[in-house]
Amino acid sequence: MNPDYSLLIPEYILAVWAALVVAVDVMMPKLRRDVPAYLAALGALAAGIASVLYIDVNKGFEAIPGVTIMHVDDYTTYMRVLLCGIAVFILLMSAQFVRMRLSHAGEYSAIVLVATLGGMLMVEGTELITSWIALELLSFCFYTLVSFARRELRSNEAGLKYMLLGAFSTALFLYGLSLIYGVTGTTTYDGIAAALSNRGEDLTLALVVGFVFIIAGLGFKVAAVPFHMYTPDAYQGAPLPITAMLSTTSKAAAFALFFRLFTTAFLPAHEEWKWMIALIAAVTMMWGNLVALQQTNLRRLFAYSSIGQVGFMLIAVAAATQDAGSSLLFHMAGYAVTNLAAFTIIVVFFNREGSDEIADLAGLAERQPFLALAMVTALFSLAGMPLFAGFFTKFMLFVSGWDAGLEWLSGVAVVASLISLYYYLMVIRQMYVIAPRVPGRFRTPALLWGVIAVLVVGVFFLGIWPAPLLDAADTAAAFLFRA
Amino acid sequence: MLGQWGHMGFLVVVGLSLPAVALVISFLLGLVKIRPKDPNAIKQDTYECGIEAEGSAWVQFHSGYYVFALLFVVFDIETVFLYPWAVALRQEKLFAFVDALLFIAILGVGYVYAWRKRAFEWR
Amino acid sequence: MQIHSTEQVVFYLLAVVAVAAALGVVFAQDIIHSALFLVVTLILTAGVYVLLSAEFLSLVQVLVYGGGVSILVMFAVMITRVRDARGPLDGAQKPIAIVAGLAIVTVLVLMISRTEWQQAIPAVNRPDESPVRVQRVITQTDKGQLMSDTDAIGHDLFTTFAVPFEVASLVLLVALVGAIYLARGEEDEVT
Repeated sequence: MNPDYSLLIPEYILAVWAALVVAVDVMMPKLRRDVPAYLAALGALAAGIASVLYIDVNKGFEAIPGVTIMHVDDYTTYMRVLLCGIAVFILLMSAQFVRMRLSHAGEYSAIVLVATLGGMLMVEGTELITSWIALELLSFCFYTLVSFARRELRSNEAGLKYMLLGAFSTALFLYGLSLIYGVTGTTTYDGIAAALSNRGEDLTLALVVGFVFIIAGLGFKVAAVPFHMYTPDAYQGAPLPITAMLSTTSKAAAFALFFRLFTTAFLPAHEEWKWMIALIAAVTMMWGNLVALQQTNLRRLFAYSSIGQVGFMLIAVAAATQDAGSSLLFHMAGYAVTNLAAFTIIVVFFNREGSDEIADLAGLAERQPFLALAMVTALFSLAGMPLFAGFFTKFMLFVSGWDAGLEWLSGVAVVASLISLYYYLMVIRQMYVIAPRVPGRFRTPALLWGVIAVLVVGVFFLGIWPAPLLDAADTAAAFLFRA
Repeated sequence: MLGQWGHMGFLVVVGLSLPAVALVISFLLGLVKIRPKDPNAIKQDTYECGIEAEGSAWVQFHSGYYVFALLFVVFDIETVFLYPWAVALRQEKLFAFVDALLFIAILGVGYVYAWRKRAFEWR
Repeated sequence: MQIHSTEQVVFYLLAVVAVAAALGVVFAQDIIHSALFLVVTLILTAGVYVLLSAEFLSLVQVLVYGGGVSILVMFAVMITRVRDARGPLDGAQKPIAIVAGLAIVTVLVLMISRTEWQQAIPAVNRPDESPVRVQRVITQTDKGQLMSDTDAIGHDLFTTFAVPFEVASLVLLVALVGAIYLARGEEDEVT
């Protein structure tokens, strides 16, 4: 029986569309440099719509009978739609930025699409080699994208650091996978789970070492402490929309892989890895939020804030229950919407002022009240204030950790969350209390105004009426625990 | 197992010993004063096509070389993937053939791209 | 330590030289020497793969690492101003690095020796092969027999891993586009 190739239509759309964008760009050199981004956004939209059609499809991609290398279920669909949505917004916020500051717009947009494709494959992979090659695809795209502003030294530095540490973490991850294969003798998630549930006691050391390597490798990708060293530099050096993408696409896809791998393949060995991830989660959320207090650069602040968020998301992986899964998916969506809003605002500001220092935000409320107000919304959501998306999503995460017997971790998370409020308020103070350094109001371009408005409405929607998305996340997570 | 690789190992040993033996014989002849030893400045100089060597060997090379090395590695890896394909093709179905054609086509896109971007030209 | 076969003799020869060369990479004062030592290590690793009956892997090792990656490393040394960077490349964290390295080696050695890895099955149709060969759990051949290493990888690559194989070509494509974009000089900006 042949595998069902129709399961991968969104992936085909992205691949073909990416080639199309490059072709158009190469064939028509006179094209304005923001057109490829809009064109690519359409492609991401098309792939997203195609993904929606897979709701309630629950089917494995059986490469040969009995070996399922990918699985399309509601978990996959949820993440596919999320990743495509992120790509649309990233491309929309990129258009003007690329036109002003970068060359090779076609390649840029195409690689964003291919990165999304890699992320989608990471989500649906249920076999170690498939997941790994998907992770590589995503990573290669980011190595290129982070250093895309090649005339800027900072971008080069960021790209180099990201690539060296990324390659190193890939090697660690792969070594971990090889150990798991050596112990279990199979690379499919199902096979590993079966082998782990009837294993002998003597396998424990190799398993633990394998888990350590895999967690370290994935820890690099999601930027968990102590594997976060590259994050601030990469965030600061990368072209701004790519920074936004690093903090959304990269994290969402890596967490989707992380969660699927650990809750389907490694769940029988939960006791062996639970404490590792819980420990990393606690250190990550405290460290990220504490170091964020000292930042003066907006992008570095967001780098550390995202590290803190990673700590919260790791709670779900450590808990590894169905509730944790649904709250992780829910939080990821809320976090993505919020972060995209914040970064679109920063892009508008950067396009206009060429600065990303917090001090330069002074008096933004006077100069551009809409941007300031939207930024407040995003920051309050990140801090987890009620009525905003971040409140419910974080609350669900902490509760799921508590229910899974990780009470201390949820306690640490609450403390870390309170700390984070301080530096978010510092930014708000800068915008509202401090007098502007440069006088004069300015206007937000209509399209980006619309994008920000949509995202802000999204933040409120998730904060006030979370039920629809939470239901979707619940259904999606249920598929991982159906056995 | 060593049987089939033993031949290769033997060749490697012979290959490595040829220059070693030559050096050792030269050294031994020098010990018994058959080989004359009469160094001078020109004789000790680095040999480079018979022309006098100038400057240091530590010069910075043109970065264009690196692009070619990168392109080489990419297509090198493609070759590596095609090798098991060539070996297994006979026993596989048509599918494997189409699969590899798609693989080559995707990299063909890369080739055309490199061509269009004039990456193969020396500048 | 007992020596059972010529294979072991060859293995230890390879291993000792490979480890010595690897130490050379780290401790050589001259970066060119480091690069050459690296090539030696990479090629000798191919020899270890041969001993493990992983002929295809050893071919890949020679072709990609012995050929491509070595050239990349040498070119990288050539096109940068290495003269300014001569001398030891280690910093203040050297003692910590040594401790961490030794700790990792200890754990790995303990792990490798203590673990009961997936058991090997004798290769039925190749009696002159090394008896130690991990069961190919992921391969289910149609004829129910084992094939030569390259055959088996080819078979897997075009049945089980057909999709990851295509994804690999996408990875190469992105690498190609990225390399051309990032490594080219500024001249092509006008095109």
